[in-house]
Amino acid sequence: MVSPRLIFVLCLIWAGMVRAAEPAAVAEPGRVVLDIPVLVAGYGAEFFEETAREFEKLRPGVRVDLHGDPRINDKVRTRVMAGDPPDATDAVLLYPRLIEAGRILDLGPALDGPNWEGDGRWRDDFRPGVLARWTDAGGRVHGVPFAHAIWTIFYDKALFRKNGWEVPRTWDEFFALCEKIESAGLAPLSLPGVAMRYGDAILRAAHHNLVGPEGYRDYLALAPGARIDPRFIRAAGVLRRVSTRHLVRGWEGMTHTAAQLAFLEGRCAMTLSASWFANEMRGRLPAGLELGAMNLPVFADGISHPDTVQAQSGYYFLFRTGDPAREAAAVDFFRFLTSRERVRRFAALADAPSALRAAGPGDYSPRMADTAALLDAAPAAFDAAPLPASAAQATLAQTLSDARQLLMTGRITAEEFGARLEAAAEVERERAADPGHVKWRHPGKTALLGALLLGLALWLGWPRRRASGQVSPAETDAGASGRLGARQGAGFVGPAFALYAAFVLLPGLAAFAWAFTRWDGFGEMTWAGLFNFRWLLLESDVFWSALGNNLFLMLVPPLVVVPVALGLAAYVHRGGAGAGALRVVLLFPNLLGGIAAALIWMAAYEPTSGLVNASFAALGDLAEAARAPGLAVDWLRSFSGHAWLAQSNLYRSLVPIYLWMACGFNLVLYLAAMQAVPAELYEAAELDGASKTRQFFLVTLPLIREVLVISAVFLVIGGLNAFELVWLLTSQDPSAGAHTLGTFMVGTLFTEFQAGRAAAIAVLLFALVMAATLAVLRATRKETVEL
Amino acid sequence: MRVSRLLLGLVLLGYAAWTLLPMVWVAYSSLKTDAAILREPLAPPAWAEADFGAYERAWRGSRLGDYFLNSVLVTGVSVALILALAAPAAYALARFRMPLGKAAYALFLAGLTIPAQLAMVPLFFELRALGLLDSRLGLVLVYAANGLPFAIFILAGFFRGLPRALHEAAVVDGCGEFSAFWRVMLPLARPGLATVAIFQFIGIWKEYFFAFMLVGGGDGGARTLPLGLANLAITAQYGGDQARLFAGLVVVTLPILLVYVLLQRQLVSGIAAGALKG
Repeated sequence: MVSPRLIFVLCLIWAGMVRAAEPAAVAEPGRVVLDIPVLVAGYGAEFFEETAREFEKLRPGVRVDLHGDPRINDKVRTRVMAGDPPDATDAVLLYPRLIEAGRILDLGPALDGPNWEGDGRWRDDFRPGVLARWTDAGGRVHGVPFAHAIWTIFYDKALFRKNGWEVPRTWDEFFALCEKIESAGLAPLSLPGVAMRYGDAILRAAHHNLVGPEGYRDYLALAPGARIDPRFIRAAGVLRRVSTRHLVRGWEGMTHTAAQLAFLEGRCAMTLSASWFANEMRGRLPAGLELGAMNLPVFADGISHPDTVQAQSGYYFLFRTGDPAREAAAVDFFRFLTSRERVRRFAALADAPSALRAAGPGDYSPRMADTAALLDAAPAAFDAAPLPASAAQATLAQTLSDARQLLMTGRITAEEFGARLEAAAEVERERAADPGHVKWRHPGKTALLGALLLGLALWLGWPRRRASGQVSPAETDAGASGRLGARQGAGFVGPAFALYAAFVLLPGLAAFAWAFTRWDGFGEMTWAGLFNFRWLLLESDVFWSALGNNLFLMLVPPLVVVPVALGLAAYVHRGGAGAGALRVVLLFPNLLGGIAAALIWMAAYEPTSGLVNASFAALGDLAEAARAPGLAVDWLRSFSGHAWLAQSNLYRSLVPIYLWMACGFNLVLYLAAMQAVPAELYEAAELDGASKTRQFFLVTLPLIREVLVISAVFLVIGGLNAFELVWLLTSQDPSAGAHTLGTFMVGTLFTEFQAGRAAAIAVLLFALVMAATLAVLRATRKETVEL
Repeated sequence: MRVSRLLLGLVLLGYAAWTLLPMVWVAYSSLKTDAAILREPLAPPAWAEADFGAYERAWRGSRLGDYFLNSVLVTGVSVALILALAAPAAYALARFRMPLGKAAYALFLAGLTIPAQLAMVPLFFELRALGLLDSRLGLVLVYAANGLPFAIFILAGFFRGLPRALHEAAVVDGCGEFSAFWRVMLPLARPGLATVAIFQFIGIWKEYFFAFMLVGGGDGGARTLPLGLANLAITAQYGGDQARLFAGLVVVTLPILLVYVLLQRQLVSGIAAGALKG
């Protein structure tokens, strides 16, 4: 029956897959292969690849596998979790936890040794202070800085000259300038609302200026009261004032690139960015543009030196691989990377400053002249990196991202902002004293959820059903063919069950056990009792906002999708004009899948260059041409620049996407059910004089009820499991308030390295899915019509 | 009456246009330059200077070719494995009483409602221990295991509907239980197998969550198309290359469109069959 050719082909495929599963790069004996994935967000991979090739020429025994990718964060995170870390990387990871776990190499001894040229100490080649960030109390150095961006406000010098605008030095001058720019009919500033952390540059600059380096260090060290200090509030007020009054329209939905383009296309006078801007926009900078860069403003009564710059260095971390030859080669590579020739080459190629002294103003293009001058004039730099200084601060970063979003959109005051952060810092201080500490922030919601689940359980269990439990189909079926012995039965069912048990049942059961542990994925798994659940339910704001978001997706899209699909199905069923074509067209988006849908809509929702806003604008023009009432025209035009994917609009904007994706599939389901309704029933109804509409409600709806219920259950479960749309539409980095439980779980595992807590989230999600499914089934079980 | 019909027609036409427009817009915008997309988002490209460069950048620069091959391999083998394992299991569970048969069937059915996320965290570490992270084989095993409950549920329905006399005749003719299944019963369940294959194919082809978690790392050599596409989107964001993203979307959509046009009828009847059996 089975042809030998088929078996042969299957074997080939199998062999191909197993081979592909082996590591791609197999080292030749006696040769060291370094694996260095680098983030290429701002500077491109060219310089780093060139450096790797040069290094290989100088050290013939070493091969450097250097790959640049803007997505390395995810990749390296999973690899670290997978126990297969690279030799070195600059991916954003929770390094404090990795350092604690002893997985990062100490570079202290190497830094005290010679530099690449051999004419000095390696340590002395760096700009002052840049090594301090990753140096611990014991003098161990865990990160090498290389690229050294500084935060500045870019502006168009010619535009400023033409209007007689001066570069502001103080915040008062800055706000006066903003008003002048606005009265000239232009927006003052752009920054990417999708990555609101850009706003932190303003907050940090103002705060550091007011409290000085010591005060700033205390703030980072979670000193009590630092976040409700009037000076911090004042700094937050500056950020709030800038973002609520002086940003370009649509900024909330702008990506990194969109914000930069808004400036380059003259829709605003300035853009806030670090010095990677010129490099990123290379080839896109208008030929005649005189790019200026100004330091962030200061206060007249600030205490930091006014020329202090806010720097963001890219640090590379070398992993302990246990292979001395590889570790030595990796250190050697970074010594080469920071050599004078390479540093100047980087300045020339990437047009960006580095953390080393070797490059001077002459090494950059004229566009970076201002930046180079700011850097050389700076008596000191402070580090902007938003990376948490300790593992405990990961949750603090979440609070910041949540509160920042509210502050920047003007929904809370600077005082409320400070109070939120202080409260979160307080919790961290308490947790530092007692690791099992949980703050009771949501006892009411927890009690409500518990009561709901209990009530559901009672309701489900109350009237004992006549036939309870799952019935094996063979028992009730007339077509049954008898009995199978254990051996034969195992032959038929065994392989399927083994696979199912290994990859679904066992890991599913394990999740229940892991939910009661603390584990970072590397070290020892320790019993944590109910801590994860107590933390999630009682303390975590993210858990509850994620659950709220899931609830929205469970309820709202089905309420839209089911009626629309039902109406369309009824139309197609009646054979209205073009019915077949309609079905074909509507089903297609469902086949594309969530990823393609998310990306198509992400582009369509783009505030300035997207299909949606452009269509509204075009409709507005049409309406005006057709002399429609001014109100309608204004309404259509009000969408210009509307930020659909800003966090505050995100979930509402998901509803059309759901409809777009799910409508066709449900239409086909309903249509199939409608076609199975016997025609006699309609004939009988017709004889009784029932209109088409009455027939639909009295005959069709009751008879397709079961299919409606099933489709609703699937939509509701889909809402609980929602992951990919939110994950992609937030650029894989949802802010605290935009999470669903699914994205929250992924973030907890890969970003915070909390496998136990991630399992606890999964268990809660499971409980909710079960409850929701049972509730829907139970509520609709009774009057199903049997045919 | 005629006016309301006209109105209804217009609404439906609008609805169909709304469904198609985003895809059409992406397709023709892929031929424009970024500057043109920004200036005039709605305008069609000037055909004389249509720019196909974005396609080359997407196919070569973003390795979509490799990911495409991965997707074909992973999806094909997973679906084959699901059918090969689910058919005998569903047959035996649907038609025979056997030790633990009830329990096994209940466990399989429970899988229909268990969210994928539940097993995810331990599964990640299980594959890590087996050395199957970032490998196509690991992904295939996970897809196949997760596809079994649905496949068994549907196929059990089909096998149950087959007349008992056929099985008896086969046994009388001297067939063992297995060859009765293989030669007589299985060919009769072909429509069921087709339904399962179509559903699993669509589901696995566009799957993202497992792929993201299990083959997102490494050297990226095992990534499937949805992952590659998401990757492309992020690259496009940093490089400001919108046209390349659009070209990538077109490349991903075309094969689906092709399959859809060819299999439209089977697909629709497959969904319909699923609906009525379910």
